[in-house]
Amino acid sequence: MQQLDATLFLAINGWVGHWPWLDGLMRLLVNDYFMPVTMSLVLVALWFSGSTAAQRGGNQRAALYAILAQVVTNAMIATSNNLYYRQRPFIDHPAHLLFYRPTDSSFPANSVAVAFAFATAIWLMNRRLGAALYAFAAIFAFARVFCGVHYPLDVLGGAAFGLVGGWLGVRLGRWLEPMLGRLIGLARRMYLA
Amino acid sequence: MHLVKVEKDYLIFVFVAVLGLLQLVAARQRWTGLLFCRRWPLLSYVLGLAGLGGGYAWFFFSDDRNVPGLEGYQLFSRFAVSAVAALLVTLLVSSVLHVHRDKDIVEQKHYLLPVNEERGLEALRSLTYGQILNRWRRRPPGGGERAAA
Repeated sequence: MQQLDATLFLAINGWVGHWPWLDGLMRLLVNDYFMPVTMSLVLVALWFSGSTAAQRGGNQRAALYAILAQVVTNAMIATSNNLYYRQRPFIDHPAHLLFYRPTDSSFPANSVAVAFAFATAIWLMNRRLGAALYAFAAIFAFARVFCGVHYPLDVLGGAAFGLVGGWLGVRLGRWLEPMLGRLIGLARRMYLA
Repeated sequence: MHLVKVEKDYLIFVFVAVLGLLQLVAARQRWTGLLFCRRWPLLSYVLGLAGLGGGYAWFFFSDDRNVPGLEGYQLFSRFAVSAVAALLVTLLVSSVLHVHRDKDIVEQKHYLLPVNEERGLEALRSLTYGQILNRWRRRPPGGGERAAA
C-alpha cells in the first residue's frame, strides 16, 4: 500500500516543471491562505444570501454548521497527530517541492480535511454549492500532492476526516439548534441576518 | 518580523475582499441600504469585483505566500476580525453616503420602524443601517413599531 502510495506520489509530482502555467496555478492553490479564505468568503456570502427570511435562515444555519465542522475536524486531526506520525514525502523521496517544508505529520492532510469538512457541511444543506466546494476541495487536494507536500493517501485520509468531521459538525449543529436559532434571531433583531 | 508583515497583509486582504464581496451580494440581493452607489447598481458590481479580485491579486502576487506563516486557528480568528471590520465599515459608509435622504425623511416626521416581520436584512432593502438606528433613536415614547407620525 505504502509502495503504491509512493509510486503514485512520484508520478503526480513528476509533472512539476513540464507546464509552467500548471506549476503557477498549483503554487497559488496550495498555499496556506487561498483555500481557507475562499471557503470563509463563501460563508460570508451565504450568510447574506437568500431572498426570503426562511431561505436565508437555512443558509445561515449552513454557515454556522460549517464553522462547527471545523471545530470537530480540527479536534479529530489533533487526536490523530498525537497517535500517529508519518514522514513527509519530500524527506523520503526525491520530490520537486513547490512549497515550504512543513514539519508536522503528513497523514492526514490537515488542510484537505478542513476543505472537505467545509464542503460536507454545506453540501448537507445546499447540494449545488456543496458540489462546487467538493470540486474545489478535490483540486486543492490534488495540488497538495502535485506540489510535493503530501502522499495521495494523506489527502484521501484528510478527505475522509473532512467528510466525517463535516457530518458530525452538522449533527452537532442540529443538536445545538436552540442556541444557533437564538444567535440568528439576535442577528436578525440587529438587522444583520 | 516576517510574521507581522504576513499578518498585516492578510488582515488587509480579507478586509478588502469582504468589502467587495458585501457590495456584490448586496447588489445581487438588492440590499440597497448596504450599497455605496445606490443609483448605479452596475457600479456596485464593478466595485465588488474590484475589491474581491483586487484583494486576491494584491495578496497573492505581491509576495511569495508559500512560506511558513499563520497557523490554521490564526487564519480563522484574523479572518473574523477583518470581516467584522469590513461589515462595520460597509454599514458606516453606506449610511454616511445617504445621510441627506435620511434628513429629508426625518424632517417629514415619518418615524417608521420596520414591523417584526420586516426585521432583519429585509429592512436594508430600503433603509441604510444609519436610517434604521436613527428611527430607533427617534421613535415615539412607548414603542413605535410602524408608528407613523
